[in-house]
Amino acid sequence: MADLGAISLWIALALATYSTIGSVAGKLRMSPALVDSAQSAMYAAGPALLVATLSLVVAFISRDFEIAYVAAHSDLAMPNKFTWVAFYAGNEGSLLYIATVLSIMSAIAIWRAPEKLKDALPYTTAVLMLTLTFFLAVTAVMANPFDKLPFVPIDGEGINPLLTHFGMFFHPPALMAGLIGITVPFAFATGALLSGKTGDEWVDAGRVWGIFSWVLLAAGLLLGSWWAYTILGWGGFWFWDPVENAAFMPWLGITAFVHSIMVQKRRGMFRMWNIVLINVSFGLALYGMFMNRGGSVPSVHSFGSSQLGWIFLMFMAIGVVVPFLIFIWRYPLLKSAQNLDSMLSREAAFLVNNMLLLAIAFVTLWGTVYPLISRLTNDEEITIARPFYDQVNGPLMLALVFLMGVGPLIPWRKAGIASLRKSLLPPITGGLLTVGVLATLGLHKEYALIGFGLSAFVTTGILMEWYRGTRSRHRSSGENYATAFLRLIMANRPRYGGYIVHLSVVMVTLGIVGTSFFSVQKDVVLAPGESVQVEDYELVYLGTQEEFKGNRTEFIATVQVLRDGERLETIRTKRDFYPSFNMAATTAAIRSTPVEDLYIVPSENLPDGSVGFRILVNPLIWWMWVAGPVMLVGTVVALWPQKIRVPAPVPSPRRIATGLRPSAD
Amino acid sequence: MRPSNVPHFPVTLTFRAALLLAALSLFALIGVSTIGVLHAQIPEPAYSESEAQGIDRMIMCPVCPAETIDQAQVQISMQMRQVVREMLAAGSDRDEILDFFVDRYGKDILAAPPKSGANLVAWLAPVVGVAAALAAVFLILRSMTRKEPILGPPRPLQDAGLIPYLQLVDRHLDMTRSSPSPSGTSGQSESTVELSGPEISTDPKENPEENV
Amino acid sequence: MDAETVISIFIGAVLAAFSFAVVCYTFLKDRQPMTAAAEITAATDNQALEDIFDAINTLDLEFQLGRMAQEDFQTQFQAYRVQAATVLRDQLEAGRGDPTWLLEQEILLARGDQASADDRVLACPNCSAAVLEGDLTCPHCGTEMAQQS
Repeated sequence: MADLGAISLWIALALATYSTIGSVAGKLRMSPALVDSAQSAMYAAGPALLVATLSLVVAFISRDFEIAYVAAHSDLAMPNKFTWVAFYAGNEGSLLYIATVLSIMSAIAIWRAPEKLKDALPYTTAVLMLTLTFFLAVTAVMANPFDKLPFVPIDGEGINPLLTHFGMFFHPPALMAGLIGITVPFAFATGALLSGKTGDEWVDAGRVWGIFSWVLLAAGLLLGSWWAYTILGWGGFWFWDPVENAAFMPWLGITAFVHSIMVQKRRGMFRMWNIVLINVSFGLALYGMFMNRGGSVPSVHSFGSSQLGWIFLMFMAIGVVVPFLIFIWRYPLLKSAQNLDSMLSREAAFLVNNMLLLAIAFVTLWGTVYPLISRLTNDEEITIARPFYDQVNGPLMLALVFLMGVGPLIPWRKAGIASLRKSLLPPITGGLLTVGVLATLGLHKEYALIGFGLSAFVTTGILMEWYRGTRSRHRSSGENYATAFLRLIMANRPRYGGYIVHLSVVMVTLGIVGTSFFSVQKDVVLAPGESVQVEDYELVYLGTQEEFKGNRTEFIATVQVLRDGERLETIRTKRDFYPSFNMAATTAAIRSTPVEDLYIVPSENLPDGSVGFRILVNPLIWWMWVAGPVMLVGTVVALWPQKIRVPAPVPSPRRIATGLRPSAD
Repeated sequence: MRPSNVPHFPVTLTFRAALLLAALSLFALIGVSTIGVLHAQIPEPAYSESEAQGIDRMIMCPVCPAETIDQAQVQISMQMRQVVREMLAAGSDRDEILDFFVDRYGKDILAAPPKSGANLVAWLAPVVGVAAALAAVFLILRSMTRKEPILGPPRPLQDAGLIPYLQLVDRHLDMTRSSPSPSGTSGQSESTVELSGPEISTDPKENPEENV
Repeated sequence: MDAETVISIFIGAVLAAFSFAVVCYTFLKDRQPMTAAAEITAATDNQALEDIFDAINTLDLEFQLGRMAQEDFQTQFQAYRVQAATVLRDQLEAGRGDPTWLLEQEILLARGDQASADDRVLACPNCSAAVLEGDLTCPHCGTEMAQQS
């Protein structure tokens, strides 16, 4: 199957190249046939890449070790279901995955592009296909998953044990899809600019695909954190690792984008700014993908191949400089349709929101590259890790939570001071009361108090909005409260979807504040039968079972959890040792409740049967994981198409062209 | 709907009661959460394991790819943790312990740069950058509010030919809006339009009293 | 050369031929007359109307939630009303709308001008076209009219 895979990969590359050149040439030479042909080529690239993907999957399942990639990432002992993760375990496969995802997204995006963008579509296609061409060229020439070995090995090297856990089935695909997904709104924006459409034509498509890539990235980041928490065994979930940062920054950019694009949709303002923002987000996304290919900073994540790194860096440079030049070229045409009525308005709040998000991105970028700068300028090796980010990004994030509570309460155009004061009173009361109650109960850490207070502030504001809206609708329409509430949501989907997503952000905040400030850690070595007291839990270590399974030895430790003498649960936690990789992968035992997590993981297995345990009590972290599904629900509501009824039906081309009376169907 | 029926927010007893109830439920929620949280406030004995862990998190493991000695499970990392605890037990404070490791391994053993000397740049740059960004936002917003209106306002309603189209719009609004608003019905709006044409124009040049 | 390679090359050739055909097809088929411009303008008109009515929707919500004063609401609401009416008129006068719908709206307007109190002109709840009270179905979209007794 290697041959089929390679052939289809090259066919896809040819199609993408033709599509890029044909779109531009067809547009410049005003040849609709060429433009359509280039578009068809784009549609054909998808199936070609699906054939390539399928070939690789078949190669894995049939353990075709003649293919170097299959030999490097699987072995005879590997269960078939791990083919899913083995696919993107290495550079070659993940590049193929990215290309396939991009081709499918491009096809859907162009197919469903709104009518008013028709003139801009060839350029949008060109941008999408240029990106695809790049990825396919790199894949086919430098990192071909279908390269063969000169001989057929008897067995493969096996899959990296860290990848065989559940989180890995979703975290990399979501993250990579999110990163490459940013190309779509970027392509719409650039296409619009290139074709001279400097108004708001691209806003609807930009918003939809912006939100879509936003949720993919957010899911990828949350899933990665969840995986790190349950698998990596040190009880944390985010490490400010350079590669994590590289995925975090484009997410911040695209978050800013989905907010400020609302201003352009509503008021025709921020036209220039949105172009800058999507260009920056795209640049950061390319940087994110660059960091994954062997960036200059060592990390648990990097796939390591420095040659690819240089090529990506070059493409990133082009991907930043050229859009910037296009922006400068079209700058005179990018004028806002309206002016700002007041500095106290939702438009202004969105701009502040953007600045905060970009400030956090800047700090993250700074922290990631400063070690390099320090090494180059004053020849000093410096590390920047969690303490730095906690102190600098922490306050910024709290400011952002505050804005998240205030923003939705400020009306468009101009906020009256009196009505603003009335709107803010309940949330401020809620926040202050929370702080007061917590302080009285003995909680004195300032940042934690602020964090909880702000969470209450935002939640009160959102619930108050829901209550008021429902009540008002109930009064005027006579519907009961439940119906009124649902109808209210359905009548204002972007807004209420946004509220739900904001609630999920509050949940993440709760999880971060609880764990950062109040988690308790104990490292202890226990012999069988010994127990240890952590907080109000008593943990009795019963013993370890050793199980030899093919490529690894599993050490399963059984621990009894008691509280106040009463047995709560008997849990098992395990540490798998893989001799061929000289690596151990742990699976923590987590007793999770909304109040706190009891987290136990073995760090070493001693010959006499004792086990070194790390025990953590992490308050409130459950909320962070629950935030994921809530965020998804909010996004679905926000993206659900809402047909605005207007006093004129959409004329169909048939009717316009022929003037026929439509039949009553 | 008559204009006088406009929904203000009468801060009635019911509303306040509902507000109090909402606030109390919120605390119940947060209170339950903080029960777990407060356990962490129980003071630790002697040299404080949590203090040791805090110091662990500030020291990087020399051989691992970017992990602190708190996270890493390799031999050298465990030895270093032991050293931290021994020094704490002997009475050293945090800065002395950190200096000890810097002397042996160099400045990059610290998880964050010291706030002194050339490394102050690392801490100040973000602060300066953020301050600059906020200042920029303020200035941009201010300049945006000062400009003259770009779009001309809608044509003043001396334009009687617009009336039938307003009828169409009002009819549509009647049907699609679930909640009536002050000028919902077409009959009413028609007369409102005809009689008070000039007043409804939003042209700032014609209605200087509307400037805010 | 084993069977697998043969199959691979065969499928690969099919894929290549398919792609080539897809790409060349557009050069060979007859081109339809360009209605793109009209479609785009019509879509832009509708977009303008949709944006205005969406804005009215949000304005209503913010007013009900007590965020704006009565005067501010009135000012903005009236401005949007006029804007929508202006767009509709421009659309009708430029003849850019659906010709059949335009014809019916002109009838509506004519009827509306002469309508007496008994002879009411209503709007279809589905497409807003003109419907005389008493009509059983909408002449434009065919929706059944609820009869008021």
